[in-house]
Amino acid sequence: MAYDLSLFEQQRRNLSQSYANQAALNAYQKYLAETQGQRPITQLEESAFKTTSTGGLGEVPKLTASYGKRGLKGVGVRSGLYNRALNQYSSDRARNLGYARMDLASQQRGYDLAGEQGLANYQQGLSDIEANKARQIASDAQALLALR
Amino acid sequence: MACASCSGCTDLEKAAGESPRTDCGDNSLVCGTGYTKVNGVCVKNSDNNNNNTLNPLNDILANYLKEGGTFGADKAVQEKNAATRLKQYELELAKAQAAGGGASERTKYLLEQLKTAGQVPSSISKLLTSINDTGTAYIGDQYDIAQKQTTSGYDALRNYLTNNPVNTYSQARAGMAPQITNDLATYAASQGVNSQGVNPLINSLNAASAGGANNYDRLLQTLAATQRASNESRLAEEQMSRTISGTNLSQLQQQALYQLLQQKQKAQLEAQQQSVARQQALEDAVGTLVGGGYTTATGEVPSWLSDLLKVVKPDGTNKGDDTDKNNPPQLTAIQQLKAIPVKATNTALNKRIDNFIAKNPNATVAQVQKEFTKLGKNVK
Repeated sequence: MAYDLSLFEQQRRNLSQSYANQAALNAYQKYLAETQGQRPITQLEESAFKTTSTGGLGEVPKLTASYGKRGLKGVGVRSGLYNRALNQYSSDRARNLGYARMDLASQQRGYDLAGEQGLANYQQGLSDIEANKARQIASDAQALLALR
Repeated sequence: MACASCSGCTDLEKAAGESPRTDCGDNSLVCGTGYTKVNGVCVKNSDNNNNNTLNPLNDILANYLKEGGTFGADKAVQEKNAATRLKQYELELAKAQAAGGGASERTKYLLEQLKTAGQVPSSISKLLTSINDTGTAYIGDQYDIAQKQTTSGYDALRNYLTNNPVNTYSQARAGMAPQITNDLATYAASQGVNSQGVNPLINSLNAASAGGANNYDRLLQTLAATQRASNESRLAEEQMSRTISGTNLSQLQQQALYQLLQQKQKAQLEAQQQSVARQQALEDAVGTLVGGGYTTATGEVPSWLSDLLKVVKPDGTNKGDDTDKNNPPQLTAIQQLKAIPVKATNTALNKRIDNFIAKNPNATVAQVQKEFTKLGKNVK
């Protein structure tokens, strides 16, 4: 009848273990998501000027060069077509980069939130254990008094 | 010739108050007036006895003499038989006296016991009080221990909750809003291209990014507020549990004390019942003794009988004069006055007699007859 602290220590260990497992899994998933999410961003960022693996020009120099060949781009030449093409490219690039970064950020926040929820559950669990322990002590005290 | 001075009389004959023989040397016994010859011994007649109170003793004597056979002609046998009968008589006499005196003493004892009967003995009352006190102290100690244990448990909980509030959301990292820029603006300018048209899109994307971060932060704030409320609720829950536990302990203590009180009352009741039963038993015993005629209700030998026994043998003969077997014992006028039965309810007469005896302890028959006209007729 008398309370046994080891029971609550067992519960505490189980809770800690469960939280640690969940936190570790969440951290790993977050890392994977960050790696995966960062990859298209990097590709988008590099694609503008970085030469291709086969030695080709980046997308921006390539665009400029293609308009230059057609005489639509050069010194003293003010081509509306080139302007629109460059702005369109810039817009598409900014949109794609923005979406990719926001997606990554949202995903990361999801993992952060999951981590916080896990920690909150862990702390709530610890509080529950302490509350149950106090109740058990009180209950045992009542039982002892009832037994006399 | 009287037996007392006659060598032919046996001890039994003397003790039996035998009337004088006409001839001590002759075994033919002639009893005097008021006496009957029973197997060679003269026994006083009941109907001719001046003191009826002593008749039973004479009857006993007569019975034993009847059962004991006759005095033989042989003197040795006669004395032997007489000695045996004497012992039997003395034994029975002692028994008869013990029956009266013993009953009286017993009645006295029983009446004395009755004075305190019907009440629970103080020793038992003290014991019950002691048991009750011990039990009360024990319950009090147990209650204190239980209360300290409970208080200790809830104090530990409060300390924990105070020092370890659940505040993960309020301490969580705020949402990061990724910044989107037109990183080709410099290049476009170098190419003579105006890229201002991209800016609205950039602004829109940044607003969306910031909005997502803000939403996340507001979510954290909401969750943090919920946690704070939860923390407050836990503290309130702790206080409630502490209060309820205290109430439960008090209730248990009251129950325990009530049970103890019930047990004490039950024990008191049983003790009281036993005392009443004892009182009833004592009253029954006294009633048996008094109702059976062994003694008077007061348990005391009447003074008139005590006085009478001082001068009279059980057979009614005068102790001081064995030779005068035919005459009743001569009592003084006062002794005769005392022997006259007077109702106890007649207090005036009893008081008057007492006063007269106190003033005139050696009053003559004439003085008694003069003072008490009616009663005096019985004094001679």
